[in-house]
Amino acid sequence: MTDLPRDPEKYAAARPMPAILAAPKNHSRMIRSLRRHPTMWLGGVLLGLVVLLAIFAPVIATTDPAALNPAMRVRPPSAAAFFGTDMLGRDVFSRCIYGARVSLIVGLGVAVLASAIGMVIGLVAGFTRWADGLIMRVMDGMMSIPAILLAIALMTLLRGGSVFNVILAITLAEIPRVARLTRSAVLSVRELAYVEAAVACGTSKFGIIRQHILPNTIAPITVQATYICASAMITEAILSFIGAGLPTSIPSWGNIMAEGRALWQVKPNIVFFPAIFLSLTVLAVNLLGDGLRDAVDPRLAKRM
Amino acid sequence: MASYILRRILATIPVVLFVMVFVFSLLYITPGDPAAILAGDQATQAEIEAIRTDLGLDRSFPVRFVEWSTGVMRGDFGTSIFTRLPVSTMILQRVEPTLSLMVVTMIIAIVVAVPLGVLAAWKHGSVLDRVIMLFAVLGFSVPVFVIGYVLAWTLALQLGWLPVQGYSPFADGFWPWLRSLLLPSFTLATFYIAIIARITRATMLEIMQQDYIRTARGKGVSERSVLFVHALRNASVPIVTVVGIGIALVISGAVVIESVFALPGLGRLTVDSILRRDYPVIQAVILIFSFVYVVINLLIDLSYTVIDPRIRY
Amino acid sequence: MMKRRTLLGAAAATPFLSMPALGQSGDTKVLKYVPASNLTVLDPIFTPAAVSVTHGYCVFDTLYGVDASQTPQPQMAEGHTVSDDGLEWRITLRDGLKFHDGEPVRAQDCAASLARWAQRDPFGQALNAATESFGHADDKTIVIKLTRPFGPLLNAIGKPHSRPAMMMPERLAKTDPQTQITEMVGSGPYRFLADEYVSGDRVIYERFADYVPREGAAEWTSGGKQVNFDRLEWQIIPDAATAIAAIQAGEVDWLGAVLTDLQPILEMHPDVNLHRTDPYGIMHVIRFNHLIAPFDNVELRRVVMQAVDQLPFLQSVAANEADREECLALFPCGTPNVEEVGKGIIGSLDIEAAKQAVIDAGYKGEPVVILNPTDIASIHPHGLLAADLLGKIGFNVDLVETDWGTVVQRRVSKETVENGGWNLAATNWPAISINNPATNATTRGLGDSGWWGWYEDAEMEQLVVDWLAAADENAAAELYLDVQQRAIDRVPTLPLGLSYRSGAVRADLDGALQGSVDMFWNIRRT
Repeated sequence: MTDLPRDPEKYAAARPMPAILAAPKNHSRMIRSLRRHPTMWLGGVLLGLVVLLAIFAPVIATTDPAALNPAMRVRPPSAAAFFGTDMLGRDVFSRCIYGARVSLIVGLGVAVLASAIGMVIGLVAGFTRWADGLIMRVMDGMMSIPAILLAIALMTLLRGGSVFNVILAITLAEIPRVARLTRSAVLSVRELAYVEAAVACGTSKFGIIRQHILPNTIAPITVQATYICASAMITEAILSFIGAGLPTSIPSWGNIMAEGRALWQVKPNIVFFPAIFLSLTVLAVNLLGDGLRDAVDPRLAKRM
Repeated sequence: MASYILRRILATIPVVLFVMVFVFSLLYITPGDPAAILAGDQATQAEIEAIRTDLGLDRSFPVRFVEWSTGVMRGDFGTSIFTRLPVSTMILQRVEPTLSLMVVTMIIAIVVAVPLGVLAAWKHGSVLDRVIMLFAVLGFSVPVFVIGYVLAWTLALQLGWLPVQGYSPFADGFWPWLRSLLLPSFTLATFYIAIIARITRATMLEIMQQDYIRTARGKGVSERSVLFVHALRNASVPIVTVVGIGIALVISGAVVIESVFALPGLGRLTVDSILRRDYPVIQAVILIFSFVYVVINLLIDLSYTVIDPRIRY
Repeated sequence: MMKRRTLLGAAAATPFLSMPALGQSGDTKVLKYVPASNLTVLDPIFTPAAVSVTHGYCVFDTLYGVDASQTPQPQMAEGHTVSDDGLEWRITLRDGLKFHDGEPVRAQDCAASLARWAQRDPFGQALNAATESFGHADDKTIVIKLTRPFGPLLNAIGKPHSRPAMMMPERLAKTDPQTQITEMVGSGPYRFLADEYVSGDRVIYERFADYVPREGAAEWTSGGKQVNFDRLEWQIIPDAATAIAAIQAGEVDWLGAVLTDLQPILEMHPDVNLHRTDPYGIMHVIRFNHLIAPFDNVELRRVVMQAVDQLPFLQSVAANEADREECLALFPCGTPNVEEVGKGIIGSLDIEAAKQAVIDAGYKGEPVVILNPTDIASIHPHGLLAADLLGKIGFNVDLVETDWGTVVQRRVSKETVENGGWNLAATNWPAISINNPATNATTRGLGDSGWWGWYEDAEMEQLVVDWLAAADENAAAELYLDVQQRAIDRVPTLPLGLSYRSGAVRADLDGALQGSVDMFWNIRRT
């Protein structure tokens, strides 16, 4: 539940042919294929709206999302509080608007960090034969610890609390998958004739990485990153559900839902409004990811 | 083949060793003091110290690690700090519900998702395809606990078809067992239905463009036979891969589902233990989870050779 | 083809759906109970946790219980005599008492149990300090020899909450008080079934056939404990929303606690009644750390107390007016001999006045660390509200929100805040567990060896000693009032008022008792 299946390496291993990643493409082709994918545009527009919501939260929100008013607890939606209030009388509408910030930062933060770190680890493993075994065993070990449990353990270790800690905890759980994906991409590309030729010509390692490896791995990693982004937002909600997420003084869609969940029979508004926001955003990110995938690599599209 | 299996099994040893060291160190540096939690709100510092000494929590990292790891080698996972029960007993009590949840969830997921995926691929590009894929995306866009509450409210509370919560052991009969599992399993399955349906569709699409499918069609083989005999069979490798990963993910999902539906499984035991810092229990459960994960991956790799004879090791 | 399949489907579905719902209650022989929290520690002397007390009253019995007016009444005891100098107490056991292992209850067992309890419980420790020995004269007679008079001895050994003095066989009672007892052998009305116990999920008891209840009606922890069920099954449901659904669907009989906002739906439900077990409620407090600045300064503690309006704190944990009560005192209002000595003091300053008073009291802008557990619903809002209030009156607040496990660890730190210390932490106490000068840890002045916060006050401690040795009830009541005055003057703890918690019981059950915790005798199915 915390993460989507993305293990093209294993998939690749199972196929008679190694996973072949398309050669670099030129830009006009990319744009053409972008136009051919309207769902991607839908995803992009939706996500853009959420980003705007997050940026202009102080303008859109009606009150301070952390302002306490126990006398006005669990009020139904009204003109004063569009989405009602929660158990401490905080305005659910304003919390949802500000929640866009936290959820997006968590989603994007995890996606960027996990991709970057995972890629570096994957590149090192793919290129350094002596370190490969060690690194991949460590990654296997980390992958074998269920991500959600790893995140809970890390949240308590990091003394809970901040957005950064949540990002770090979820990121650590995501890194191994990116590392594996990168490594498998490197391994498959390394054996290609033109790369072998480059090696033979004495091109430096960095040169090879920059010219041949990166262009071929960026595409799947980018696609991967969109899924990580989506699943990180869900994981954040689940961390809050378990009681290891962000404190409620920092509203996120996840902890608004988690805090209001016990009351959902009587006050479904507290759960459903953030759920709608979260679902639409995850949907947008997924659509964007699917479209991106189709655009950069139609072959990858069919396999993921 | 035999040497491959042996190599794979040997390769799991460093993984499990790494997990052992990693988990133990992680918990050692994690803040939170089980003795203070155990002693309660009224406790004085002297009492907490006494409890800590009594539990051996005041000893150094290497001493505790050596004691724990030699215990594990002998199959002794120690004693829970809180319940004072052997950890192995606590875990054995919890295995059946989690295992049952995993099995029923995966069966529901496969039974629902594979036909949906095939259907979507067959009607590729149609409205039906779009609708199925939209639901597939929504399936992992909504946090599982929200789905759980909604299903529980409609199916159990309003319609009265299924129990709201609780687990009925298999020993008490098959139907009560299944009834107690349907709601949590279906809730958890929504997520896997989404994934497996997408993978099935994508793989089917790719395979249906292959020459042998065109040949089969050209020979006048019925559409159903093309879909289910020729295409789906060849699509089974990636589907099995995803199912395998899915089983590992069910472990994560179990953490939430078992709390929502009050199932006495391993996921709940783990969260309870982490929140109260019951170190021996956390260590054992994570070790077991990672062991299961490793074994499942091994089995999946081996299953490829059965499904697709072209794959050899 | 289609048709046949549909029929088959329907046929398969019918027996399946017509099955009785799993675990349906309504069984006259079984009572299904959902405790308010998970039972982790079985030894009720080891921990004061309410859920362990609830469990304890099933398995164990006490020498004395209390009635609704909190007066000690003999329970396992037949009666007692006190020597003229007040230094020797003899308690005789009533006939026919048996432990669950079939052994008779002897005075030796009770003496050992009292000795262990007296090392663990604060009230017991006070008794222990005045005790020479817990012994026995014969199998039926317990002899307690004191070194100085101890007026509330029966109140101590009959206390109904937070480590009641529960009687165990001597072999178990000899266990080190810092070690948990895991073998559950008591002489109470229910026998613990160890084989069926799944920690964190279910706790199963069966009626103890050899239990001999007292004559007379049951009241609180005293009187005739008549058991009307063969089995008592506790099921732990961690999710509050699920627990509510379970009692609505009739899958369980009794919920130990219902969230305040969910009470209305159960009130409207035809088959469920709300039940308030503990009429004295819970006292919410915020504890100051007295060792470090700024709250080592009594002036500042006073200002904060004067600035507190209890109402929002109470509203945050109790939605209905009937479920909360402002209590302007450090002792729980509504318990005997407590007066609202804080009237005109607590909440007397508005924000602006308080702001000035904070400056006048010499606050130098030190950071104020408030520890706030995010996973404890009855505490968490109070940390937020305290941070809000203190911020408004000019304190430099650092709200530290972590899980409970981390809070309790940091709370025992006596360091400065830079080195991992703290200044304020909210918590709550069952009112009846702090209803006298000796048991109220929030006002005791034991310093280093006392409750976290380490409030030191020799004068207060002298008052407690005097109260324990008071010659008669009037003298005791007067000393108690002095203690209350002293507490409101020195502000060891910030009082936030009382809230009352309700559980829910299916309507076909009758006779659920009031008491310190939920008790499973007297109740029966109609």
